[in-house]
Amino acid sequence: MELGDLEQLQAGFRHEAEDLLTDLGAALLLLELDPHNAEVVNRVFRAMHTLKGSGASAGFRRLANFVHHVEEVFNRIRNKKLQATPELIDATLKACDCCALLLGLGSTDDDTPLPLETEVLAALRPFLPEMDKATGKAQAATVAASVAARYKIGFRPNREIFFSGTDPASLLLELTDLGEMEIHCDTADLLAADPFDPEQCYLRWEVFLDTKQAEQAVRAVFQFVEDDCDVSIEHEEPAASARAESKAARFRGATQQAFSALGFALEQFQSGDENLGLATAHRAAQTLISACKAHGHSGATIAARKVLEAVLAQQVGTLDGGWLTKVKLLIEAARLAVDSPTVAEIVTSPPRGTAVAAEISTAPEAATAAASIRVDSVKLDALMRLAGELLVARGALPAFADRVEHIAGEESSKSMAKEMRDAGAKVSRLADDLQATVMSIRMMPVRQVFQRFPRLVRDIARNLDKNIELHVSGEETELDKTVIDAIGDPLTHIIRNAADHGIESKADRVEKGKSAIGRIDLSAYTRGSNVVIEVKDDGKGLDAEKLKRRAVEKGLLTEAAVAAMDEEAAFKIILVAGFSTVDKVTDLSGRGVGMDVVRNSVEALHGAIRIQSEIGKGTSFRIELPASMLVSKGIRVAVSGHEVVLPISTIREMVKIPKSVVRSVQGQPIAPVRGTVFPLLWLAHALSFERMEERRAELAVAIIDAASGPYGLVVDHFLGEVEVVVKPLNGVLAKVPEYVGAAIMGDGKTVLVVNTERLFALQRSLLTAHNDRLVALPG
Amino acid sequence: MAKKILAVDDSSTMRQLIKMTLSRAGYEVVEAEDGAKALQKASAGTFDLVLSDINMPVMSGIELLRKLRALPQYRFTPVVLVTTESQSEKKQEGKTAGATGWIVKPFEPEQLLAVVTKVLRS
Repeated sequence: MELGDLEQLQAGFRHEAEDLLTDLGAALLLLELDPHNAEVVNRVFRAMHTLKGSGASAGFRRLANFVHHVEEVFNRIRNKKLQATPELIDATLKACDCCALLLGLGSTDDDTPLPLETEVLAALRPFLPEMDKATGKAQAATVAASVAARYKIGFRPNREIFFSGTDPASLLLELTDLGEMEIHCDTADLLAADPFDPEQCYLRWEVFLDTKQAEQAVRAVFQFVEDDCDVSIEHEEPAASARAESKAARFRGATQQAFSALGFALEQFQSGDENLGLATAHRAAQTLISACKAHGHSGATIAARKVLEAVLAQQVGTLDGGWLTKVKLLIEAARLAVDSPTVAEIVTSPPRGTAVAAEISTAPEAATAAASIRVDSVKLDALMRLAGELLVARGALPAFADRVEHIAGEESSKSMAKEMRDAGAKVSRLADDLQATVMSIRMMPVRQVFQRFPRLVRDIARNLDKNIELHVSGEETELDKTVIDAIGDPLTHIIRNAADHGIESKADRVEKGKSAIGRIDLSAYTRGSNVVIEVKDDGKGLDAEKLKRRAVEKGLLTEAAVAAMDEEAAFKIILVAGFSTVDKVTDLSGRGVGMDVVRNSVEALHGAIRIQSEIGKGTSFRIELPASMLVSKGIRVAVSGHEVVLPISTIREMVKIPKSVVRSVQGQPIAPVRGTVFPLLWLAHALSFERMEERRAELAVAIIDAASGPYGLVVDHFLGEVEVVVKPLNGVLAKVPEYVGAAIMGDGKTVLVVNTERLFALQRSLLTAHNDRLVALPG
Repeated sequence: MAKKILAVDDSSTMRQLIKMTLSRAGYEVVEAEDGAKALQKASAGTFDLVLSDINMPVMSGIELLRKLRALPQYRFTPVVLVTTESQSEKKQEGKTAGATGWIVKPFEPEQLLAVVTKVLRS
């Protein structure tokens, strides 16, 4: 396998493993509710089994070893020797977390157990049968040699074994996976054979195998060929001499044999027996690889693989004149690699702290998440088809040009123009479809984020001894990948907050006449070009007065400021940094950090939050986000002779109000719109444009729904709605908070997009800095 | 003509590994993610070899093997099972159901290639 292949395979496995772990988590939660459901037990088992088998194949050896122990436990549940208790589910869920860490470690050779690994294995030990406890312990504490056993295996294939398609060498190779071994070949029959029949097997083997595996595993190697050979397996006390023989000496012996076989093979090849020579070389290279691998010599393993690759290339028939020289060089390189010490021998790896291990484990994962995107193949097919059609349609245009050139005089230019217009229309329709498809590739179902919450709610409920049901709906709703990636953290905070602070204790709920089981609803749905995600709990609700009091006590807001707040503005106090309503700092939340993350993240996504709550009934957080980050709708506005775009997602409505209704309260202009009073902000002022003299009696105002509260943005004119592709700003402009990006208009012109979400807050903070006093959140 | 191989495994990683190894050696590999899908593909076309995992959703490898052997065109087609060491009892079951051989997971690409080459030659 080439190096690029391995990387590809590992990247593929990472994706598969992530899916498997997610499915495993979901299946475990189901199993907790229904511990005797054989179908669910099987689902859990299969996910583990695949994780182990494919993990080992993709080189994730540590992950595979770890999963093996967990799989054993579920094998016992499957065989009804064990019950899936909540404690066991707890340990297994932790094991899933551990798998994610090990997945991050990748194909490492470092065997230092992670703290979580040791913890999980310790928690699982009571559930393992006696025999496996030993291996479990060996894994956790790296007590290795004590459980190894030595077997003497006599392997005498029948003469006709080749006819059943069995290769004795492949069985011996399979044995090498179990441990270290010493193979003796009895060639007496071969030498005595007369006449010699090349289709018969004359060889017999005696193998001494040192393995930690059970005898059953050794026996299993020969299971398929029992009828075609005579196999004896005896348990043997390791002889003193065998023990004295160092591992290194055995490695040297094995590799020397392989090298002389390779030399012999090349001689065969040169003397005309090309196929035979190649077959011998193939086998010798395989032996060399196994020996290097068993010795943990990765450098030599790679060098030996190169030899095998060269042999394979020659075998499949790409005959190459210089092959012999090349392969000889490769063999020499392998010999040098074998003679050089293994990496493990030179570098004594320093003991590694937990922090470092955790850091390493997360890094590659983050990298993969950013670099790749998984796409539904149906969408890709559609994309391919469209691209093809577009090419065909484009091809029609030069042909038209030719015709115009040659027969311009004969055909009426009117009909030609029509044909060209039709072709142009077709191209642009295809381009539109193509763009829509590309966009849809970036769209992913919110399920990708939602699926982590059942586990979160379960863990919190178990920790706090509450009963909480999580009801999820609208998982199919699609959002742009950027939004999906960014929305996980804020949602986690909201849901955690709901489970921790929102839902009351069982006793409190019963006392209030509510069901002892709390309920959190997590839903997503589309509204226009936006997606709404709602988290609703039936807990104790937010107390606006208490929130206001607390904000004043903490010195976050002034008395006057909170007095002017309406209910919703008061609820939003919980989104302010440094605010926490709970005195006791719990393990889960209540540290006053977290909820302000919610506001920041949603703002960064150009979304808006609304909070509704009723004391004793519950609280609902409603996050509205643009479904796609690429194309969004905006309103073009004119301001002081410039043109800018306001993102439509933040605009509640656009109105014209008489200038005469504007009042000023403590220097803040305000105006009533349909009975509600909004603070006003002049866009020209906010963007530091020169404010033109307003002669008109009416003001054009866009009511903006910002997370910090609604406000009226005064512009000169509304120029109309537009679909824009928003690109983030680079360079100097990237640091200007008044703008979110630049929009490329249909005619190619670039127009700046205003950060309406933060504009008002920015102005307020400037004022605050100026006046050095606390200013209320606008309400 | 390149020999056609049907690779059946519910793990995309395993299918990727098999396809990568075998197509590089000049074989044509068709993938199926469970026994039922494999049976469908096998019935619709002809294959020179079937490589199948055992533990899969919908239809297991053993069941697939039994169903394949019941089809006249697959009575003698080599079927190699891909198993893990913990399933030794399954191996026996597979043999009884008519498997030609087996490969133990995890395997080296060259091991797979060796088994495939041999089974297809004999």
